[in-house]
Amino acid sequence: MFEPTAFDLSAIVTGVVNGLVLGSLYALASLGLALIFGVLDIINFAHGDILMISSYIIYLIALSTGNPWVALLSSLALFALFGAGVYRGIIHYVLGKEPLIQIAITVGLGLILQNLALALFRAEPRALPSTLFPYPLSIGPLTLSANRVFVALVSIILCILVHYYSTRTKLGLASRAVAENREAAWLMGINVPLIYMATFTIGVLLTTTAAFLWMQIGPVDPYLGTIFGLLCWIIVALGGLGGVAGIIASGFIIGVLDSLGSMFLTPSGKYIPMYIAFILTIWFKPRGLFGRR
Amino acid sequence: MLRSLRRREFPRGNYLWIVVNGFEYFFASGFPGSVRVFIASLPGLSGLHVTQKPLIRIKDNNSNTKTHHPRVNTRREVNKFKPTIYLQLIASNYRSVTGLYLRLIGLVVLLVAMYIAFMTSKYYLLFTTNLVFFAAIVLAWNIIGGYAGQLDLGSAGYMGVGAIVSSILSNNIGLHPLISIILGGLSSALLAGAIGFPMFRFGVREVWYALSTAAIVVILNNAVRLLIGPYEYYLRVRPIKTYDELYLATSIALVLVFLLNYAVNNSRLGYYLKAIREDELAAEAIGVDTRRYKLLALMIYAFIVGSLGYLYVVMIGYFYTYRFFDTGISVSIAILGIIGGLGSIEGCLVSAFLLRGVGEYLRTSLAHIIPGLHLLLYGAVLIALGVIEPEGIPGIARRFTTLLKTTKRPMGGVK
Amino acid sequence: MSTLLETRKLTKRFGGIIAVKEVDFKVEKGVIKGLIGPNGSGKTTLINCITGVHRPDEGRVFFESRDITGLPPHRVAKIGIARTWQIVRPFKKMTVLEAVMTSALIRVKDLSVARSEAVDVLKLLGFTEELMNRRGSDITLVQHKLVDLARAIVLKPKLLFVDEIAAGLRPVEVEGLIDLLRRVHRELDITMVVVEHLMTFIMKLSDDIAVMHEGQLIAEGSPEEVAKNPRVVEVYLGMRV
Repeated sequence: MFEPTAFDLSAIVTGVVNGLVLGSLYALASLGLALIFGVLDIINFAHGDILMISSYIIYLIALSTGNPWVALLSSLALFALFGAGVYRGIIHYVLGKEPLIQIAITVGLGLILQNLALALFRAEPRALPSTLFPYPLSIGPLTLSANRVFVALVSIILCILVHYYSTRTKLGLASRAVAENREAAWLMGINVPLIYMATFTIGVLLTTTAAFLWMQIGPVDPYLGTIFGLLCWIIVALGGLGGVAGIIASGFIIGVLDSLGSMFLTPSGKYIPMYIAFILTIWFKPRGLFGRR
Repeated sequence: MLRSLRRREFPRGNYLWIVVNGFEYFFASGFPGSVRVFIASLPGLSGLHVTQKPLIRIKDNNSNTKTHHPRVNTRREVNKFKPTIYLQLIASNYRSVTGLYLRLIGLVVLLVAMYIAFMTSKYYLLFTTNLVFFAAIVLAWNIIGGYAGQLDLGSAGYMGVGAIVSSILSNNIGLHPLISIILGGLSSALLAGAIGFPMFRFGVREVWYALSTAAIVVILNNAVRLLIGPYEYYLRVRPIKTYDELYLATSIALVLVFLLNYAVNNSRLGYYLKAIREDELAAEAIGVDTRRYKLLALMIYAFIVGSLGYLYVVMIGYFYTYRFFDTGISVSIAILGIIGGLGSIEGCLVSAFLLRGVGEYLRTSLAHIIPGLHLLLYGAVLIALGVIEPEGIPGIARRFTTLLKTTKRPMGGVK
Repeated sequence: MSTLLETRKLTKRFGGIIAVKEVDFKVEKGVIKGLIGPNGSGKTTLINCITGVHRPDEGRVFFESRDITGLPPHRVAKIGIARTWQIVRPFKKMTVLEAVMTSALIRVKDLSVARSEAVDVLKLLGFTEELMNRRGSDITLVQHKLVDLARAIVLKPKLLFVDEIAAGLRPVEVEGLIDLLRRVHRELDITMVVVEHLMTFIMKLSDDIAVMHEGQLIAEGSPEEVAKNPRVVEVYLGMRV
């Protein structure tokens, strides 16, 4: 069971590169969670399930229209509404409440999304019939699918955009002010409820984009949400809330652990090193590997 | 009798004297300190007096708070005939001995009634056994989650370890099942101690505690899968032969866990844990060793859940597998505990029987049409509770009673 | 009079900020000591360092000439130092009585004893039975502060830190508190350190005052001496004494 499949260097390099691709996607997926946790101080256990349900929506629209870009745009519009609706209908009521209540209510939301998906689509995994760039790409000695390169590039670019959003734009700066001190921000004339709703919606939209990218490299099933939810929380824990750079770095760490773990251990055995890394981080560096405010 | 008592140093606490037709009745401390005691219609009752010995000496120069000793002026009480006496003793609902007996009898009656209702059908008897079993797990969770307020998502892990250890001990080594159950529980408690010690030492709490415990279940799942392989192992030694025996064993387990919860609730440990749940730093500042008591609560919970593991093996058909380590089970246990209201024994029982009952019924009867319907139900109830009544079932019960009270006594009537 | 508590060169830093700088703070047995200073002068940090909430970076703390530096809060509480909180930390889902009982249970083992001790303390602070059975979520701010005080008193501490108990209260309530604290001091024989940034409150209450400014002790003495001290006047310039 512990037998390594191949110990040659190129396999390891491929594993690492694949891990980095996965990691950049994980980072993008966690960014929405980190944003919501940082600004709204909401513990969102439904994050992975939001990703899962948007994957299904993208899959359905892409299948019926045949155009992935239409699927992306229309699902973004749909999930902007969904995010605002969930905020007003549920999250709004537990702002500032005890963590346990927040966890309970978002676990409830996650259960509903997961089991709606199970009821509608059943348990078998579904993947898009064709991907965006179905050809290999050679970079030096490495051969990668162009699709993966696309996924990694878009993820990283989006992460950098989010960094600029939170440090340069008015809305981003305002939301950071709210995160620092809610009352002071109120008094400064910042419309806090609006910032909250906007941030939650942006978080959901980032997750939808991550879902779109995920559909380019993997299948979706109702339990995808559980896996992604835990992964994203682990990345937020490792990265701390210091900023986008921390999230990207810990996304890479988890991605590489994931990819190498599934090479050298069993496909599900990969969770052992990842989760042990997580627990040790929580114990010894409670502020995350890269600092937290 | 009273005279001899009065001469000795009084033990401290609440006292109740009732004088009936000139005879004195003396109830020492530990008197059902609960709720309101109405003694309006008791025939022959002529006097009632409550006193307590002050413990803090107050200097005599202050007039309105003088030292007073337990006093009972029998003659005056007898002479002053009170037809209706309304007495409120100081304590909350739980701390009553009669309350315990009533609740215990209620639980046993419920268990017996369910047995009588379902004993003819093996299917429903097993269904009910499953409910009783999970009610016991939820009550065990109540110790760490409800009293200590730590959102533990590791119950499946502790149950799995207990189940596998006790199965291997009784099956392969041939220990007596009871001994293997206890050893299984102990190994779970040890594991919990090994995990909990660093966790509480490094101050892991709230969402991070929940995530770490969930992560431990996932790690255990994969580690055990690597250790014992993806197989199901059947047990040869089968001490419980029939469904009726299984139901009896599970019911006994539930009653034991119920009593343990009660004991925790009415002990120093219970008070400390509740203080930790409410505000850890404040609890620490009044002298509660928060790490130690959290660890104790975790280990008690892990021991119970671990020893229940063997019953789980029996219940699902005498086999064990790595699939025991299922985060889904942990999460649903925690959900039932939260809906039951943190730290409410009755609330946990109601949510475990009612909500899980309905949920399991939906799951088994409609699984082929809408799988996961029971989880949809849990989700909806969780969201509704979070928005409407975050305190769960006891919160709803309290609203209900205040509603009844206000309809009885309109606002103007109360001061 | 013997010294109950003494700190020697106590220092606490947060990042680059020195919150408490080489403070030598002494409390004699049996007094009400005032500790004043503007907001952010390090009063609460000093208490936190003494009661074990923070670990001091340098310096030592002695209680009854025993070194207690760096002990965790629960150990500090058990050897006889209790405190209240500037921002109340209520046990919201417990009744007032249960909250105070929890505290009493640190010292006594038996529930009914703890209950009657808690009742006595709460009665001393003016709680009715009806109030005692209310839950922490259903009482007012001043009642919260009193419950906080009760939780500390029932520990029968030798030394009690009262951290800005008047903050956020109305003048009438503050007057009542002064009387109450005096009574607690007199009748239960508890040495107190009363922390406040309001001069008036402390002038009325304490035998002896220490003044903190920017993490350092700048003056110490009787209320009259302190009020005349030029440094103190300078720090409190514009504030009515």
